[in-house]
Amino acid sequence: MSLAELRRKIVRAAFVAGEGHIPSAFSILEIVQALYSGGMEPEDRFVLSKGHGCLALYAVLADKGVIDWRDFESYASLGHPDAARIPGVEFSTGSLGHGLALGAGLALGKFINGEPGRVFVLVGDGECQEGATWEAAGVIGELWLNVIVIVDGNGSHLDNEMLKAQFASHGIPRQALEGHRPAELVKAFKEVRGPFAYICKTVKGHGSETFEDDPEAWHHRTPKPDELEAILGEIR
Amino acid sequence: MRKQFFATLHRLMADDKRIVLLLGGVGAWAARDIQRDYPGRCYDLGLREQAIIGMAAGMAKAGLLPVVYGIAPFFVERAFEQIKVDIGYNRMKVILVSVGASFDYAKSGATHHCPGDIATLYQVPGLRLVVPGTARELDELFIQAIEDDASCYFRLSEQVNEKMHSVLDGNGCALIGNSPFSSLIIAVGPALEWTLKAIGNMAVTVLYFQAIKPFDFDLVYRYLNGNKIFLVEPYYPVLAQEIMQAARKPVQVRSLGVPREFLGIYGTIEEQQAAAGLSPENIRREYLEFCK
Repeated sequence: MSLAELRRKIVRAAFVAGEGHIPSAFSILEIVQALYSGGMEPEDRFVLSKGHGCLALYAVLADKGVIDWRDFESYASLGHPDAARIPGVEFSTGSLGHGLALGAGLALGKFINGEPGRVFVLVGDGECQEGATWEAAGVIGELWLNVIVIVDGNGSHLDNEMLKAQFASHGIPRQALEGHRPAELVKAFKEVRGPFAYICKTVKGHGSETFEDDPEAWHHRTPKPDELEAILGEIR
Repeated sequence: MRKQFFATLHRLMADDKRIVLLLGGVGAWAARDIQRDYPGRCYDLGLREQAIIGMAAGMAKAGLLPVVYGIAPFFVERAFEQIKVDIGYNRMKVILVSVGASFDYAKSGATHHCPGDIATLYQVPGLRLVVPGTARELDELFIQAIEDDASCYFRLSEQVNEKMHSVLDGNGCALIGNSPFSSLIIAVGPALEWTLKAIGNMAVTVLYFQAIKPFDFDLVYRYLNGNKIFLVEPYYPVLAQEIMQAARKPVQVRSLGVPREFLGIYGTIEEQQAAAGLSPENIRREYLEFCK
């Protein structure tokens, strides 16, 4: 399914559920799709720390056949990810700043068990204001854990250059990446070994002018019936 | 009790390869034997309490059984949301072990005191709470906790009861004395010793709880004869509501515990305890007043 079609699915699901963070999901859609389209190996694990972007994850999981499209809208109505109810979701997240430590623990656990595989953790730039994120980053850098941090650097809260410096100061090699170029993302994810941080330059609401123009107004708002068709029509 | 914890854990780690010990900048010396014998399963992750709880949940997801050890206020209160969400809501089995509560770091002041750990953690659905009264009880209850499916918080105390009481029915509740005529006294963990000193040779029924969550409602119901229940808890009290529910009839409950205030005391544990109104003398006075 094309990215535009996935975006329309996300908007429809949020509309039906009356719940969702559409611009945040659009910000990370290419990243999540790249992870599940060759970026990750079967033994790798993915933690969506910025739980409010979950509609992007559900859309990709449905596109890959992990969940049923018929369940997609009902999952949207659950708000933030509930790992006990939704297949393919590693952890229930939503409260920001928790995911990097969860991913670090998963990676350390895999190491202790002698299991192969990397752990990818997608965090928002706002989460990088949380102290818990940097506590986890410190452990990842010190123990050289096989964790790849992907920052959705859409500029909502922090500057990407500063983020690069912060990861470097925690002993984690880092690199800037364009967050809406699927082929580049797949290549980068495929080759990397943790610890590593990709600071992805993204646009909140990417793929819809309405959301891109006023992402904060749409942060936690779903379309009204008279807005739906226009938004679906403009999605690219 | 702290020494017993590390000895018990060391023994269990020999057979249960899932167990991993996580420290947060404290306890490295006490854990030196574990570190020596199981270096790949003992990590001091530094003063990062929030990340340690999150990592423990992540390691549980990988199939391990993390045991987190630390000073009560610094991980129970600082990392409460991680305990609630990463362990509780995500249903990851982790064992939490604290020292220092309520006033075991008595002279260190209120930053190091933690009479609120039990009241705080009572809010986490599915988390078991255990307040052992002796080192041997801790050993017995810890083995149970490793075998159980649920996450569990152990509150280790400097003050211990003189006599060990065995665990009844897996609920961690022991019964002392049995008088059909008097009011019922309930004491938790090390508060048992203070309570027994307080009542002296009075013929009363005392229920002793080591495990307080899940609460054994039936035990209270079975031993309740009158309509008065006197409760002694060594922390900010939490059980009055459970006890009223357990009674299944209107009862009068007098709940004694650490008052919810900064005591401003910098003395010994016993002095803190007395300032909190939990000296045997005061417990006796309160009990006799209650029985009038």
